[in-house]
Amino acid sequence: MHEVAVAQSILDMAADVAKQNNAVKITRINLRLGAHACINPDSLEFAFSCLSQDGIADGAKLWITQVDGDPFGLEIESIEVDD
Amino acid sequence: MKVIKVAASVMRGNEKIALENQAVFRNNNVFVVNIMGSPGAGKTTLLLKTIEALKDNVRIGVIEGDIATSHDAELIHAAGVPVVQINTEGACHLDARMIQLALTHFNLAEIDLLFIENVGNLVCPAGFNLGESARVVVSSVPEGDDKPKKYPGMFRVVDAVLLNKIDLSGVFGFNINTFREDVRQTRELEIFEVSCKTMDGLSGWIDWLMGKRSAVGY
Ligand SMILES: Nc1nc2c(ncn2[C@@H]2O[C@H](COP(=O)(O)OP(=O)(O)OP(=O)(O)O)[C@@H](O)[C@H]2O)c(=O)[nH]1
Ligand SMILES: [Mg+2]
Repeated sequence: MHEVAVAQSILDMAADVAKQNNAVKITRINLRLGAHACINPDSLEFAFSCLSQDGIADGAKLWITQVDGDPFGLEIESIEVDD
Repeated sequence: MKVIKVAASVMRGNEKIALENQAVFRNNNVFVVNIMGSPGAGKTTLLLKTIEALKDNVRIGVIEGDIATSHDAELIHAAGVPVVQINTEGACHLDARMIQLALTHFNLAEIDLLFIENVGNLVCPAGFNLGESARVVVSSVPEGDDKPKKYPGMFRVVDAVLLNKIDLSGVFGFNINTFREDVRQTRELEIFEVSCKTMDGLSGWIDWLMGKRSAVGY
């Protein structure tokens, strides 16, 4: 539905975590997506690639795993970074 | 390369404030109903009829969410209950933060029942917890009987469905059985067939609402 806003939250949260860990680059973000979260993975990836340009997560891959847990949930499981 | 565990919900910002709202409502014994549905389904009209039916017994407040104008808030104001208009200026839904800000304009000690009319939209409002006590969707006959099938996300998060403009079912060739069956396929939900024009079915909705409210002990 509002993939751009969601992509921005993901970017902000991941950037915060990366900085707290003194990382200079985010290479991958692992997400867990519920079946009824109403998020389209393709448009999420597209929005993320636009928003992340030239920043700490430029070129980072969004790795989306569909999960059974919370059907409405979207969670950042972990991020992969370079120091 | 290093993997850092995060394990945090992307919606946690909204969820956190929704919980704060919920606590504020509890402390003030306010029962809060989030009314969602397509543009023009009849959310404001339903509110006006509900206010008319209840306002001698229950102290009501309303938060109106629209992209633009204070049109709906003016209608509610004319009905004699406190109302705050939120203009989202483009955003397709209300979020918990907007509600938190709107609450500063009410004296919650003087409100028993707060209605939140969400932005007319059958998709996005379903994704945002506001801290409310109950959620309903207003569907209407002119939208067609296939809406539960086409917009299942909304029907998954609500506690009841109001099928409004039932006075028009003949004109639109609306198949109520199809509608009911498709809602049931998504979830077992109470469906009220109502008309805000003829007042048909409204007492069933009002009884349900008051029943939900007493069930939480207010
Ligand atoms: N025939 C008929 N018309 C209705 C009924 N309920 C509402 N209407 C009309 O439907 C139109 C839209 O109603 P509103 O109450 O403004 O709808 P809304 O859902 O609040 O619309 P937005 O706030 O713009 O999303 C108005 O012209 C109402 O008079 C009904 O039960 N029957
Ligand atoms: Mg309205």
